[in-house]
Amino acid sequence: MTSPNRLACLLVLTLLATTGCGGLFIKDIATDALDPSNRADTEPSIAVNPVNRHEIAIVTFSENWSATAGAPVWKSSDRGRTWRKVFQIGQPGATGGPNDQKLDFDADGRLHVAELDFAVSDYVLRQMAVPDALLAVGAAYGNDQPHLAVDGHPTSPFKGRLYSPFLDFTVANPRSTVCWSTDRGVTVNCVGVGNNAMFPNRTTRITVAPSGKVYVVYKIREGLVAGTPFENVHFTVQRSDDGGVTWAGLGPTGVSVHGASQVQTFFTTAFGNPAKGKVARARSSDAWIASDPTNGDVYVAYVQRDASGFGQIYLARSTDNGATWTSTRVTDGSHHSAYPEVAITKRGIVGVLYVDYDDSGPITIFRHRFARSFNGGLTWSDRVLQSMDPGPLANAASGFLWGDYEGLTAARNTFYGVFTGASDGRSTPQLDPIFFRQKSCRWWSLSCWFESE
Amino acid sequence: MRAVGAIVGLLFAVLLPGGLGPLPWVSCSGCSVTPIRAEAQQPSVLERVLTDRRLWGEDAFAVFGTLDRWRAAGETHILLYPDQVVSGTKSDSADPARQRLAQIGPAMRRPLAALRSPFAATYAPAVAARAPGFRADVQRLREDESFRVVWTRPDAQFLRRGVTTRSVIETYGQPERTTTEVVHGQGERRPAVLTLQHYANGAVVFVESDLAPTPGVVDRVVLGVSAATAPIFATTP
Repeated sequence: MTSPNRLACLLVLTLLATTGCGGLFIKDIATDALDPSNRADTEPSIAVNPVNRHEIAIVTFSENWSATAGAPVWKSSDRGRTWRKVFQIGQPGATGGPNDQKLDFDADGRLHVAELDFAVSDYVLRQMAVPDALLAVGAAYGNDQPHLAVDGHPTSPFKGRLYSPFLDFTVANPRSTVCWSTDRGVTVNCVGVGNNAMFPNRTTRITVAPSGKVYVVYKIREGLVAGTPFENVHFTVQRSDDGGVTWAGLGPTGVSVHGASQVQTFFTTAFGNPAKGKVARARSSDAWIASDPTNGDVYVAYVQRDASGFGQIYLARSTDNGATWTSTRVTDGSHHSAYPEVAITKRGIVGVLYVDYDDSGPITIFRHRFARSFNGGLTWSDRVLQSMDPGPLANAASGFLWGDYEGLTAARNTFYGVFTGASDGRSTPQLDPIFFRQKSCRWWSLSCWFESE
Repeated sequence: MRAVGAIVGLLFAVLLPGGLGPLPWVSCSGCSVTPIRAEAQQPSVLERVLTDRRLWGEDAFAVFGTLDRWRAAGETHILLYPDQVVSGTKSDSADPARQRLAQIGPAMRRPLAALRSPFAATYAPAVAARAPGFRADVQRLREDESFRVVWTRPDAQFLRRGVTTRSVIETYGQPERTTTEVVHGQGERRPAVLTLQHYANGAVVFVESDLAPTPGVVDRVVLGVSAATAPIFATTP
């Protein structure tokens, strides 16, 4: 390398270092003032406004709604530096809540929240004219664990269509089901998707590709593994090519991302070591799906107990609209791991948020981890976001520490995530929602580094 | 002040189970009163809870006044919500719960047992006015999806609405222990995280749920039937 080139490289590296590009920003978004009741803030979900990426929204199990008061959305208008609570989720039906929830923005920057109430009815609530005003309530539908995705792709023939998967518990074998709506949840149409002919389904997650194709991943539960915290499953992907109306894009029964053989995943209320502290529930905490916002490649993060003996995080990638899949392991085979969420940046960087635990010492230490791959999942760089002993945290209830899932998304070149972790700076040590973001570019991609986020 | 204290103590002694026994005389300046036995002077936490009108509506007193029947029906503990009383016995399906309901019926028609004096004045009118209106049925609880026998009546008020854990602690002192319980359903939805404040050797447990609309409010009270029956009735059923 010539001297001028070296000098240029040094200058660029110095610039990157001084501007903090690629640095991890992490923050406890709760304060004593915002969370006076010391809520546990479990099962968080996150979305970034595509119109103004300074605006970030999070929902957690915080204050409950009532007939007279709304439940909150955590909001930031400065990329996560400061936060406020906006009590805009009014009681959608006759009963309390929130139960399970998920949120997303549409292409116009309007917030949508899927909510399950305590009577086990789902609703989509949508932002009207004023961003912080009470959200408008849509039709009742579905039941267990609703998720949400709004097609915001300008290239999609179904742009603006809203999808909400849930698990239909009203049938003998609970079935992964997806509702679609062309009017932001005012009316919904629900379609059975999962293959429940012989076994029940669970863990239904959704993504919309730039083409408008919609994918769900779910597990087919094929029996508990006696004497272990595991069950046999097939993680199965199905696709809709017509805006959610029909679901046979991958044949009548979908495609298993790990091939024909079963894999073992967690099904337990004791993720961790009960002899060494508090434990977590991991029953619907083993799969996530995302699509590359540029080329439409589809990624599934899932849990598989492998030869290491540990439940591990795997990433399956499909470059042919879900027809075939190639899996690589994200984790290193040394600890039980679960709760994967996956997101993809516009330049194809893959991020996986997950939790593992280390019980080699006298107490169990849970670690929220964030792994990134800059080469489509072939290799991974992994960092611990936070190590936590939940034992001293008063509002950390053994059996449900952070919920079934947490939040990860990507906007342009930055990952935005939220997990339920140990508080920072609170008068009472407790569980709080911990926000993080990290710009993620290949080291040589100057156009990425210099692109505004 | 001493005279007032003595009078209050005397009243307790008269009202509480056992009444006045042969007690030694003690002197005080300018007066001569009967000292009160320690156990008679201070009603137990359980007894105080069972007669606390800040905690209970009249329907709860009707339940307490017939608690011997509940014990005879085999109930080991009951859950008192503001609008209903729920059997502590869980069933995974409706049929066993219906069988349980059928077993309970005869027990609930037993003759009324004699109440001890501190309870009789409160409970007897409530039993007469409210108990005949109770209707038992089998319901599935949302929280754990179990099938239970549930008693209620129109416009019932068992546990008073809005009772807070803080007020309980202010009245009865710190709990003997505080525990947390996570109640999972079969499905994927959020579990209930219960915070339990135990009093009277666990005979009374004040329960707060994180699913309640207002934090800090007592969602239900779990009452140990045997332990509560003992002080209420003149003869142990």
